[in-house]
Amino acid sequence: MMEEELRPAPNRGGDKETRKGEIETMTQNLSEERAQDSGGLISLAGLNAFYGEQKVLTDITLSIARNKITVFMGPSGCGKTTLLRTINRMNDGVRNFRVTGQVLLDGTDVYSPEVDPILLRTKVGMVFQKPNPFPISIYDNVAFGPRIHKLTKSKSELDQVVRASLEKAALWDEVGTRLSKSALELSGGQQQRLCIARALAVKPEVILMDEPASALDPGSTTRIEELLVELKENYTVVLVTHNMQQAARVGNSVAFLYKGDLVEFGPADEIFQNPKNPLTEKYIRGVL
Amino acid sequence: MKAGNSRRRLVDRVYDFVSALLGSSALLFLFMILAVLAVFSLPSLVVNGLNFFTTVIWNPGISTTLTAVRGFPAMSGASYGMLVFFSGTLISSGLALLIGAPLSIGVAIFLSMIAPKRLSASLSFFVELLAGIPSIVFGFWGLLVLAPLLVNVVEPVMAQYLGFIPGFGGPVYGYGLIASGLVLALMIVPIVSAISRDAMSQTPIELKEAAMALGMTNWEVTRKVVLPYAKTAIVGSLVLGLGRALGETMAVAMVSQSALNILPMTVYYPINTLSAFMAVTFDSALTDPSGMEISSLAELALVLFIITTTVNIVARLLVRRGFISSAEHLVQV
Repeated sequence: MMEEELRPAPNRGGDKETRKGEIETMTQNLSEERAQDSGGLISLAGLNAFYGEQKVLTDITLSIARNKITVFMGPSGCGKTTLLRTINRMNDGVRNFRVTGQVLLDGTDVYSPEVDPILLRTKVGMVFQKPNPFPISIYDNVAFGPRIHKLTKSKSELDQVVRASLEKAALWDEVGTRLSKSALELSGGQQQRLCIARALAVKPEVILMDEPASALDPGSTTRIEELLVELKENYTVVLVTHNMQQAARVGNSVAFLYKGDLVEFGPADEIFQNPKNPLTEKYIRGVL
Repeated sequence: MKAGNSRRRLVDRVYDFVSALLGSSALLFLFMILAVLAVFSLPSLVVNGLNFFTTVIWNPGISTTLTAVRGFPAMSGASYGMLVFFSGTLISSGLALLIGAPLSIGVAIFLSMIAPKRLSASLSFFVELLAGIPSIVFGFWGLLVLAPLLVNVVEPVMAQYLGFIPGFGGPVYGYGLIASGLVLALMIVPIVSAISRDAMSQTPIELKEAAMALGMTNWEVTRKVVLPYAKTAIVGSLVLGLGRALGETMAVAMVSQSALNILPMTVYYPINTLSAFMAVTFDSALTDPSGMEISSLAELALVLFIITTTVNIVARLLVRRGFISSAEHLVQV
């Protein structure tokens, strides 16, 4: 599936990049085809990202499969969070941030001018490292997105969405009887599941998770991981983590990033049991 | 050694005492002012009694005939009432708040949410400069630019098209309520917008990103997350602005047309305020042989002191609570 016509320069970074962009496009065509062969929901093709002059991601090409958990793994500062945030354009507001290359969601480049980042973010939900519920009631947190986007027509419909979202986030049993209580009264792990429910209420296809368990205790972490595995039945999950055990436990595919480069990408088993790149192997052995 | 030590201890004790004295001087001054006002208002409090609060007419009387009222000398025919000044103060400050609040919050939203960092920093600098301009300069602008514009253009149009609303019809004088309200509105913008901006900037990035990630526009993030978050501090800053407007003297004295013995019936009426009236009257009041007019002015000052102090206390509590609750929230997350 060719997108309208290939834009000569997927260039959001000024004129300097134009010529380089043309060359990149040629190589990109190839990588795009490769990416699309595997039937991914999201395809990153020749993706570069910059903060000002500093390049933080270099030529990332990979495909994220539907209804699977794809993990971005790597040490701090490797660019995994930046990579995640290119998918829902969360870095749009960051000064001097720009990307070149493509992020295709269902075949559409999310950075093309026709794409409205607001709509994109309703399709691609996000859960953050630190649980960040709004300082309002549990109910209102979950109802926040549906209300803003007017997804429901009646109070009872909204009630249903809230309940269904909380159930999917494995939180209903714990909070179903106290929905009007402040979200801040919940424990850290419950707050994080509430944030997941809040994201689910907007009915996204993809959920991006930026180290969702790194601020939680081991018990809560286990619950979140179990939840991730359940969620992939209905959603495509992209998980960023620096926790290798977590990547191995829940990941279907794993991308190992190091200093802005995609070192290795493949099925989780292969990455952990039979890494091809010596860097990956070092990281897994904990000596990087 | 011993002698040296006891000297050091003495110096230390003096140091403790002096710093305690200086530290509590603010409180001391506050009570001294209150005491002086109370003493000077005493004749007025006794002679005018409760009538002071309900009387429109302010008339020092005829200086040739002194009489004694409840033990205090007064001139015959004298009548002292604060109603014109009290109502003028409240109405003009209310109008200032009505106009100044959206303006200030708009400035704060732009500075904290929309403007790029460098622009925001330099604009903030200019907004804060505005706070340092002496009020008489604002008054001059009001006198020479604003009031003529109002009397020639704005108010006739308002009277023509809004005349059906009670209080908006009738003749136009130009100087008066609207001019005072507008000048005061501009004067409270710096303080209100500076505090609101700080409060809004303290909204945790995590909350803003949560809203963005749910597909909210910048406006929705501001309205649904940032403004509720900063609400208490914003209200506090508005009350602080109100406190400033209530006490403002010179700018209002210059554009209010110093109404006397008349209550405003339309928005075009001349008005007067507690502080502006005091400023233009104290000179002649000193010539009153009975001393009753100066005492009545002191009572006006006492009323103003109580109003502004109360408003400022409320404002500071609100602002502080706003910032503290933000901090508590940060800890909880």
